[in-house]
Amino acid sequence: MTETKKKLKKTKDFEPDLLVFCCNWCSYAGADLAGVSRFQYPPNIRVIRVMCSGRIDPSFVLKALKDGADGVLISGCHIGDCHYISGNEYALERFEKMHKILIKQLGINENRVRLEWVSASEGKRFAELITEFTNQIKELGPLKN
Amino acid sequence: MEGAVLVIGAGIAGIQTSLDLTELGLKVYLVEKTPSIGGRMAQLDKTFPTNDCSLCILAPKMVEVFRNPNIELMTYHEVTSISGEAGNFDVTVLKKPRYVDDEKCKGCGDCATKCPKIQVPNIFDMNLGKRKSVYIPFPQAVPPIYVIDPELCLKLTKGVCGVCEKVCEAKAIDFEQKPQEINIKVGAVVVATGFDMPADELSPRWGYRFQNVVSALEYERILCASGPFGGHVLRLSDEEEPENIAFIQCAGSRDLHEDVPYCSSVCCMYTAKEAIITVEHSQNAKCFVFRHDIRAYGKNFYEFTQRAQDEYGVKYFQTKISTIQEDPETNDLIIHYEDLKTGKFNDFRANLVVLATPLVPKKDIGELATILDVELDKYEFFKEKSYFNKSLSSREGIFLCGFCQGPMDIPETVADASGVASQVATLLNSAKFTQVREKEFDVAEKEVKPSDEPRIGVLICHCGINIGKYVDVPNVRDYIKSMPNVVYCEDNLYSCSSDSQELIKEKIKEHNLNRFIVASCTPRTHEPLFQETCQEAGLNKYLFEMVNIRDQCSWVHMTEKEAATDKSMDLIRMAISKSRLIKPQKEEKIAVIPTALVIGGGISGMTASLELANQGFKTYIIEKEKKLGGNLNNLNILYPIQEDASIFLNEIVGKVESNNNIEVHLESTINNVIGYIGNYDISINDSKNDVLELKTGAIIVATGGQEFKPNGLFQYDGKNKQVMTQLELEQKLQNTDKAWLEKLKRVTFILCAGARQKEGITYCSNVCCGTSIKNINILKELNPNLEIVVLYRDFQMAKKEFEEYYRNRRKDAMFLRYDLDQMPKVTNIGKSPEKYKVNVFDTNLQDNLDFETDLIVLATPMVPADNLKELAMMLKVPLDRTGFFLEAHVKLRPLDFATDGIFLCGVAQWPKNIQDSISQASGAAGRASRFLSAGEITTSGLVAEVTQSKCIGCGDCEEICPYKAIELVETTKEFEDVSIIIKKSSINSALCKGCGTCAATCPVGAISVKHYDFDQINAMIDSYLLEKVKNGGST
Amino acid sequence: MARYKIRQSAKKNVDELIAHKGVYTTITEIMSQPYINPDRSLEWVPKNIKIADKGSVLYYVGCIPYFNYEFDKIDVIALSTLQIISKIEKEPIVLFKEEICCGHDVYWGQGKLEIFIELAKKNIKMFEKAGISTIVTACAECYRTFKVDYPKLFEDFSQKFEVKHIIEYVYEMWKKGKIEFIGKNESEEGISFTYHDPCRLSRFLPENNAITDNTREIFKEFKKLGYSFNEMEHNKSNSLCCGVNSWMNCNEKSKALRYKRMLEAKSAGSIMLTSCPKCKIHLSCLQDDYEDISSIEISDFSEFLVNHIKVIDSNKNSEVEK
Repeated sequence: MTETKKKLKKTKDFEPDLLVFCCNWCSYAGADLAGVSRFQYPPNIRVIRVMCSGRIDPSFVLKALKDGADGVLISGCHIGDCHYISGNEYALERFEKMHKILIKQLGINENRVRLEWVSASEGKRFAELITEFTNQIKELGPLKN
Repeated sequence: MEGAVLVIGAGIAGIQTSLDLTELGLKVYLVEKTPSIGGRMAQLDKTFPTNDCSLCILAPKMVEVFRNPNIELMTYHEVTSISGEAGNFDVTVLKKPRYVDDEKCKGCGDCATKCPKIQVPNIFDMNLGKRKSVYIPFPQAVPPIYVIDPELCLKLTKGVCGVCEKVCEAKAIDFEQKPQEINIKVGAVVVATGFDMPADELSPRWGYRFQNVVSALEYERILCASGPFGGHVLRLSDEEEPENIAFIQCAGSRDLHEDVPYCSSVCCMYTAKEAIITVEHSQNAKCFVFRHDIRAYGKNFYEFTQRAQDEYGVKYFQTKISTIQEDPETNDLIIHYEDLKTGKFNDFRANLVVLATPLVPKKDIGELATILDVELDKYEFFKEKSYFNKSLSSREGIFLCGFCQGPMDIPETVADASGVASQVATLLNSAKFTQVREKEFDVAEKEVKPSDEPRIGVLICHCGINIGKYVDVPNVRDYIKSMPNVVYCEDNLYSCSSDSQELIKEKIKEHNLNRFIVASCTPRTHEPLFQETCQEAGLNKYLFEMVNIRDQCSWVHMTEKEAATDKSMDLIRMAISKSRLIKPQKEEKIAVIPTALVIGGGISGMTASLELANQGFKTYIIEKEKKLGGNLNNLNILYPIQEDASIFLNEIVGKVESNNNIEVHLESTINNVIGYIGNYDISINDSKNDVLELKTGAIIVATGGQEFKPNGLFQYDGKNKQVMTQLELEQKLQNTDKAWLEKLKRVTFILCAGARQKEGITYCSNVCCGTSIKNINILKELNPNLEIVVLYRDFQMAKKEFEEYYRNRRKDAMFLRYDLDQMPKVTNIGKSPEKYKVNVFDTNLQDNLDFETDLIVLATPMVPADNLKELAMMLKVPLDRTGFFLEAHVKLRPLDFATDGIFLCGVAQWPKNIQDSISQASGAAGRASRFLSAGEITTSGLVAEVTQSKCIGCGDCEEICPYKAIELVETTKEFEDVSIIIKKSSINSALCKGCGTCAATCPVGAISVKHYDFDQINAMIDSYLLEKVKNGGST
Repeated sequence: MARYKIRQSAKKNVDELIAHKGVYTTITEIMSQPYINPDRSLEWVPKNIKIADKGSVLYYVGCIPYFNYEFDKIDVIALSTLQIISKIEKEPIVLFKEEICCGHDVYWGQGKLEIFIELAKKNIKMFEKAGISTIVTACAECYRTFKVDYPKLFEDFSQKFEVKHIIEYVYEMWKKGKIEFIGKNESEEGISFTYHDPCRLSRFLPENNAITDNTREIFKEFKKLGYSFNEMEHNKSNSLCCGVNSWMNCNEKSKALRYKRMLEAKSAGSIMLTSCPKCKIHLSCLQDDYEDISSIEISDFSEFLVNHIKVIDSNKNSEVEK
């Protein structure tokens, strides 16, 4: 088998393990709306709910990567919409630092760790985002390859 | 006297007033005609000027209403009769048949999926989307109970079908339901019925009959991510993306022919918002706004309209629309208009036209007015008792709230709602806390120590077939049963049914469970129910965990049963791993000192104080000047009521001074404020320079504002006596000697003097236009021979009274429109007597005009009071960019600071007129009295806590806490041979909201967030990735 | 390690001992995985310095690039060290973009021997592949790990690779007559400085090591340049600890220890040198808390030395951009 074929096969069979952090007020509600609206998306994610994206500690992301997650998505209210006024702004600030200094320098493809805003009315977007994220990680293959 | 209130209408006005009323100790019957609460705000995509997602900020309030034990939610009900008087009304409410049992319906939607009836236009989507004849208006509807449309349902109309009845596992469908009359007794009624936005009643020239002409509310649904097009900007004729989108302002408003003579007040802003969102959504879209005057008078509003132009490339034309025609071939629209800047008639081709249609009273407002026996005004809004008492209807005990009384935007409505709640509470003061209940539990809470072996119970829900059909529930159950610490695990049909609650309680006792997990639907709606059940069984509510295997598994992986089953197993296993580590949490009660401090003794401060004092709370007013009244002292006549300001002022000052609950400190300043909600220690310096110590439970900031003195502008320098500001003119007019007026031939008013600039003061100050109109009229009456010229840019005459006010007075002056690019010039051409030459380019006439004038009056903006920075620091509350105080949330918390216990109102928040200041002041008093009335506050169990031994005192947490709940405490510690100051962070659980941002910021992990702690989240991550079982579902 | 093991056996939450919520130790663990190939930023490398991925002399940077996540002004250690080495060496210095952690912290802080071994194997493979013979580092912890701990596990490590701390390296070059120390400018005359011995460069090295004495010998030479070097009360193997090695959590006791150390430094001079990035981070951190010690300038050995070194033979690279 050639390298490309191998990779193709890998992509096809590969079911990534993805962790998604959702804030309670927007993103989790967006995920709920995706459910209520029956928008289908790949079953590879597991959601951990926290009250605010500002709660999401980079150490959680690193731990997940250490434990073998193929991708981690952090999701919160759009900037300006934070239920806790500014929690998502701190989440963004921390994320950008973590992304640039830790994730990238570890040689981990930066698309494996993402920050996306999803509002409570964006059920469709949640489903599309998860689909796109899952496909992207499938494309990248397992972290442990 | 009844301790209950009827609220009619459950839009944002009704929701806010209901929530506030319950906190003030009153029971609420919230009657809503439609099947869901939420009103117009639920239909909006985003809200200006922050572009907050409307539903994101509204939905938590809707859920709060749903969960509130003291709000009886009566959706799909209508009020049919009312009798009695203030304090004791008898009300009859008609419960319309939903044909769905609201006790049994679980909101799963199986009925709608199977309903064969052809889809009909969805009213919630402004008829753009479709729904079945059994439906909920929108996915987040509250309550989430379905309703059958009797005019469409085949069973109800023709006696055939009945599929829904067959598929409903909960047996909730009931075709036999009949309308039901319910009698309730209330002490007061709040009317909050909102507005309509009918486009089909417009005259044909607006072209609404054409497919690609939509109303602004329809356009909101088009823009909305959960709307009919999923947030894609498409036009109706061909579902193509329009390139040129025209927004037509005042499409019917301010128009005598359309019978809407007033300004709808919100269109300028929502149009700018819609245009911005359009550009954000659709790359090729170009937005064109055909405007009249720009009325952007709220906080950051004017800047928002400028951003639309500068940053988003939205083009604004100052126009008059003649007609809108359709090109039948392309379905494009041809707009015939007059360009007011060039005076030319043009045609504009648009692919889509959005009409800013007028916001008008509800169609059936007349019927309701008859039922309530209250008067309507000439526009058919509910008529207020008087201009400054806009919350009172013509009948005592019946209050008006929100748009049903006249145009207002969302923050004004929210402030109004809090004000109404406060006034209702004052009326029903003696009956507060007589009809509200606090849930009490019979079974004592059992002690669960961290060292106790976890004994976990798990209940897995089939949700009828909603989970069971797509997830192999028995397999999940067997897998979970085998997990360590799981003592009990079962599956059942509906975990949320009342018999399931009994089952949960029984199992907790039988197995001595110290943790419980339900795997079913979303905790956002159902967690409180299960938590309450746990509490009833003596289990601390924080020992409950919920797993959402419906919205996250069965409903989104409908064709992948195996994967959905695996995922359910993973999610429940993760919850179990967290559950082992969760701890019982206590909700502390903190006593509140039932007194308030009001900073500022102007109209806002006095109004707020009277509201509080009349509810029985001792209130201290701190005023820096020698007398009460603030800016009112300098005013002559009040618009639009044309009353002498001193009469109005004396009346309210009299009320304040004679009120035993109010203590006024004049010529006093605040030295220091320490403490937190419920317990403030305030030190003030009084007029004798003595230091006074006060203890209060709440603080209201009502520091007002002042007129901007435009030194150097238009010859204003303090020496030129004949160039004065509006306020200086008022003071002059207060004098009985009016001889100086006789000598004048021509007076020139210059509006926006120093306001709405590109730099410096960029905002519209809201009140200057009205004041100018008032003053030209007064001058004209005093000296009919006087010639008055007004140089203006846009007329800010929003709200129902002012269009007419302006219309009636515009004959008194000549109006010349100028542009910011070509500012008028004023030159001094005579010293004694002073004379000036004015040069202006009038954009209406497209001509340069020169004329002489004897007096120049500058309408300058309001600016914040002096020395607010120090006060803000003391109170630990923020100021905004312009120096006014910054509220917690510009849309839904306009009167609160982020820090609980401190509130704001009046010009301290933003320039506003007296009516709005009064409305806000009542509202702020209402917000504050919620805490004062309750006498105590209950802290949440979900707060952050500092592990003292780990804290290194870096202060990062203190800096980022949005609620100022964190303080660094210094102590000196001895270590063998050195002694050092050690700082430790300390979190005030009364202020903490539990967001957890501090924990993620803390560099050493010294902050734990209860229920979302490091070990708990880490355990979930480990459980997911290190313990996972593949293909559990395939066995 | 002992604390960690004891707590672990007592079923206490061991992670609580790890500083910065385990961020740095977790990335170390991630780096130990065979599939992880770091892609470290080399933005800090000046354009005029030639680096290579193969060669004999390796500058092993350590975790400094990751420290930028929370700490400022740490890059300067790497920059000065590289400038010193490249001034002296004729061939381009090897810098690994895919450099991984030496494993010091997971070994000492958490006793995770397996991960330590994985990292060691990965490191050795990388060194061998690049043809390295000399490893220079400016980190006391990396130095001790390569010098003492790796050879315990891999006997031939010391034969294959010569490990030098930058102090040792500079000392040797000076003794060999390849470099001399020069004064930067006259204004620095009379400046007093002191030196904080990192534990990994003093009491945590075998007794026969000469680093502490060699360091003093260099400083004695600086006296000739007009500087005055003063010892603190506790010095060499008796020096006070910075209180937080191996990413153990900081606490008030370690702060008190550091404060005491800073007082000693204050009475010894206006500049305190050290030669371990973590010592620098933690001693500097304390300066934000206590005004009375904030005037002391804390510098790494390499930072201090970089402008005082002149290469004696006619090397093209002798002029270094400032």
